[in-house]
Amino acid sequence: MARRESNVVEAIVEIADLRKTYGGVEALAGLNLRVPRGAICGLLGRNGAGKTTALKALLGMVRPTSGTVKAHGLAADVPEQSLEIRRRTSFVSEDRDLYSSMSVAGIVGFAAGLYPRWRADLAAEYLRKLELPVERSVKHLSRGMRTKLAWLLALCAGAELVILDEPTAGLDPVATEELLQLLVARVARDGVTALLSTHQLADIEQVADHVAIIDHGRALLDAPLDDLRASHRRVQVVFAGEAPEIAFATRGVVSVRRAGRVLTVLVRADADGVAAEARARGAASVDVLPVTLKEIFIETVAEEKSNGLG
Amino acid sequence: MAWAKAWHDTRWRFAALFAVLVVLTCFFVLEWPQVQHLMATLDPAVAGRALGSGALDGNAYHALGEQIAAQRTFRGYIWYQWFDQNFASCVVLFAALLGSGSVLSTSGRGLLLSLSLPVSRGRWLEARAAIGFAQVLALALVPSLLIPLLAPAVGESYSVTEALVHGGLIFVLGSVFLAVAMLASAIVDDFGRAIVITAVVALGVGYAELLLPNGHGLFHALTGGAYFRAGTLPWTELVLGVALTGALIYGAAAHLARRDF
Repeated sequence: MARRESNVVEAIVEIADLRKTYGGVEALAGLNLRVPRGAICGLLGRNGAGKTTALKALLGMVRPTSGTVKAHGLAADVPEQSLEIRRRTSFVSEDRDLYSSMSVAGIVGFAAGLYPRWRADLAAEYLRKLELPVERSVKHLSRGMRTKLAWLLALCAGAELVILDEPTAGLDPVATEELLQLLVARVARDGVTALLSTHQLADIEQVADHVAIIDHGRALLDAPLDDLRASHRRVQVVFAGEAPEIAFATRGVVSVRRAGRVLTVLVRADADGVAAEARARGAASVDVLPVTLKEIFIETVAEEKSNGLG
Repeated sequence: MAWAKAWHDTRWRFAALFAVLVVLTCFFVLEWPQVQHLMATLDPAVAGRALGSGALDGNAYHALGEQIAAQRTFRGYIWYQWFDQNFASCVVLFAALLGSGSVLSTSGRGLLLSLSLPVSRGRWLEARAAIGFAQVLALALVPSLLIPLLAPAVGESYSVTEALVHGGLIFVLGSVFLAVAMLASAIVDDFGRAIVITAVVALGVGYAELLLPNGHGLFHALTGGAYFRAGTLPWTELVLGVALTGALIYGAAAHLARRDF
């Protein structure tokens, strides 16, 4: 899939020190997040990390306990400004929450009447391309069809920001690819910004150019995906005998794992420094390898967990 | 478009309730010849014996006597049997049914879609309330106007003005309970619990009115007893009903605006 250059500085979403407490339970604990305009931003996190609450705060569905949430430069907790945010933002919810008593054509017509910049041309094109049965009632659509319809409504709203919560959950690989292609085309052609909250790391690796990882209601990482890939390295160190326990002095070590003769170090910054330290401790071989987003995610969240426990 | 959704969400419910009221109205009007025959054969001494046995106190006896006397005319029959009892109860119940259920979701679905659309929560409520009031108005007026239309079929006549006045009063009564149901729905969301809360409120109001002087209170006054007997309108209860409806809708909007979803 084509990747776009993203050197955009202006933020379409700005969340600062956002806190949300539900009956004593802190869903968001000082979340800071910045989504660059024109980017496809992946919002990653474990279940209960606070992703959906953050998206709901952005759309004015929940009121922040404290902190600020802005989209398009407008405050989401001010009702009039929240309305303007929603004019310029579309949303696909996790459970594809649509009006079950309407027909496909009915709900498309309904949405068209609400968004001032509705793209009727795209709606007609996507209805055909996604093979959606226009006369069928929404309640009689399969989950995959409902997902496609929810995507259609979001992509045709003429919105500058498209928010998708678990957008490919339950879809087969063909449908997933089809929808991701539509999203990338919209972003590339019309400068739309997309914010995807998902557990499907492969989807994010495929289409995103910016990634934020959140856990326990706080952002652990918020950076361009290329920067993350460039900065993170796995240093695989093999010793002649049992690998020693090494407390690396080099900055940016995310995790160290020992298994027999092998020491695996995930490092955020200076991989060469870690490699040099390992060689100094008598390593038989040292390999500096690229890492996947999945490794970055798992180790970042695990690091946060161990810090929290420690 | 919020209006379209409000209508879409309630149209079948409204159509069914409307049909029931139309059928009931026709039944009550066309039943008049049988009732007339029955009233002619009713022995007034029966009520007197009931009083003598201590089963009825003086007020109840007086009321019974008035009812029997009044129902010997078509106008009296229509007011006692229809406007004062069955029609008022039906409109209150049907208004509660129309007002119950979240204004944001359709049959429990689409809540997050509604909240993500460029429509304020106040606008969703406003649209649902407006459609609801229009539906209650139709439920109150159309069957009422059927009475003067059908009366010649049973050899009677009925004043259009009187039908409109009774329909209008019962519309205000129904509106109060539409608003109660909408406030309950703003708090609890689901249809069933909102209906139960509204029913409990209606029963509470009904029982509380037993403590008021005869003819006062929302149920007693807005069924139009004073208009039937003396041609006067219950202005106090009309103003109270309108004010209560406004306050309840305002409460529903305020609660909805504050809620997290």
